[in-house]
Amino acid sequence: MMALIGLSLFGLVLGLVLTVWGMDRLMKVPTTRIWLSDWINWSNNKLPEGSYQVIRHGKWIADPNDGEEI
Amino acid sequence: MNLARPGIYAVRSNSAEAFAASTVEHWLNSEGENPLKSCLWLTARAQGELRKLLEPHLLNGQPALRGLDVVSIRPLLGSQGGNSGIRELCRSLNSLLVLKPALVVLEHAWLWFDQGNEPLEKRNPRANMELLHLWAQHADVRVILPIEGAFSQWCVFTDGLAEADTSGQVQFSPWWPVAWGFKSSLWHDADKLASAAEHVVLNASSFGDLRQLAQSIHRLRYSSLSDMAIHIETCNKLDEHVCSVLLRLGADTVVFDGGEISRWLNIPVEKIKHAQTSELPPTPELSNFASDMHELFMPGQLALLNSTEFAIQGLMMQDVCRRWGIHCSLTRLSLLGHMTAQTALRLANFGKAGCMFTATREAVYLFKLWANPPSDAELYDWLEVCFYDRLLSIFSGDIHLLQMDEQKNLLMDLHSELEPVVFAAIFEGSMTEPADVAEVWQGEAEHAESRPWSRRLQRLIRPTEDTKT
Repeated sequence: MMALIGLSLFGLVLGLVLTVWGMDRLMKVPTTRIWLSDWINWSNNKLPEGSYQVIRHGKWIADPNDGEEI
Repeated sequence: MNLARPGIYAVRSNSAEAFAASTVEHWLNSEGENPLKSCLWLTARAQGELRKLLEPHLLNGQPALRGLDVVSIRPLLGSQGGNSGIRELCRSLNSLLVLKPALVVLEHAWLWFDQGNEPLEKRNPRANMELLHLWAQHADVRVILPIEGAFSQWCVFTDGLAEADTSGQVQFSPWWPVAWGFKSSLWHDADKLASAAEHVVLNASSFGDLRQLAQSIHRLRYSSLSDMAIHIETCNKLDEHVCSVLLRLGADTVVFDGGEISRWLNIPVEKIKHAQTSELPPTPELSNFASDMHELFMPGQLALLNSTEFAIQGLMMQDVCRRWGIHCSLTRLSLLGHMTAQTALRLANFGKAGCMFTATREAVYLFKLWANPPSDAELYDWLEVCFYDRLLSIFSGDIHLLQMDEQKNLLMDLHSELEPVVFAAIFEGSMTEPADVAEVWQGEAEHAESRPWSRRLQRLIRPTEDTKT
């Protein structure tokens, strides 16, 4: 019984360590960093008040009708 | 353009828009060789123009492109700014930058500078710039603020300031960070610095405090007639903001710990003289040190301000005084019964007073910096030159506040003054005929001419006048 608990605890810790290590590796490479941050939606949710995004990570995303009234 | 360290760089050019575009294009053309991994451009350009400008890059899909983000602030410009200040801007920028270290090109920075809900003592340009600077350090970001035309007060607190052409070639930089410290082209042109007749090195750690160091630099620069280059050597890395002030007071370079001046600047060792504090020439204290210090932090504003602005700037200068070990006085002059504030201020001699003024219906207030705590006699001598008429014929009494706490209370009260004087009337009907407040502050022409800092900065403040003449 103890061995089973120990094994599952070990598995949990190992999983955690592997996730942290994996995330760290992914965050270091520009392409996967962009992919990861987009997926978790870390970015683009705090644009300066009243502004809109035109290009995001090298891709044109603006709608042609956005904010062109002045 | 060399962006050696994370920080805030203000660059003035004939067209801020063109300069911003050329900076971004330069970053794109460096094709990933640039150490700055991403570029965030906040621009007010129309979408059509942006597409035309960036389409060639977007189509060829170069690897550097994935670091490019462009945000349009055009709607914000149309509404003359929103309600958010620098603090909110930093939060937004931080969430937008995915790859670091990064370059941020921020057009129309004024949209955020005088906004926000900061408490009164944090509403000044120095505190705002400090916030932006701290964020830039934390996020490893170089923020470029392209400016054109008028030179805002917050530019004084940036890590680097330069005048450049629209292609990004620096023409003149009053202060700019380099790998080994800071340098200035105020006193010598960059290529002529090494050939100066004399090179004096001051070691910052041999001075008791910042004020002594600042005073020595100022004295050396203005009391010596020879072509002298002044270098400051520091053991600890001095705060960026402190370095820029030392440069404007008279130093040519500030070299951080471990840097060898002869090697960095290519100067023969025998031409360099290490001056000890005891060896410095025993010239008398320069009386204009305190007003020069004041001018460095508030260029062109040592004149009449409205009471809220006076309170904000006063609280900022109190902070500066604490930091630099200098003193300030706040004087309240009560108006005589028949005298209005408008009339009293028409009699003010802004050029000689070297302080900031404000007025309410009952009194005129003056805020001045002093190198040493002023005696009563010094205060009265100074007051005598502040007005063209005798004080007794304008004012019924005066109170001098020298304690910081008392000054702070009064400044806070001034801010909440319910019936401020209409300043437009004073400016319009001015009898002394200064077209611009900045002009009054400059005082006599020869005084302005003797100060390269004010002369050259004046060129930045009022470029349109210069081009006319």
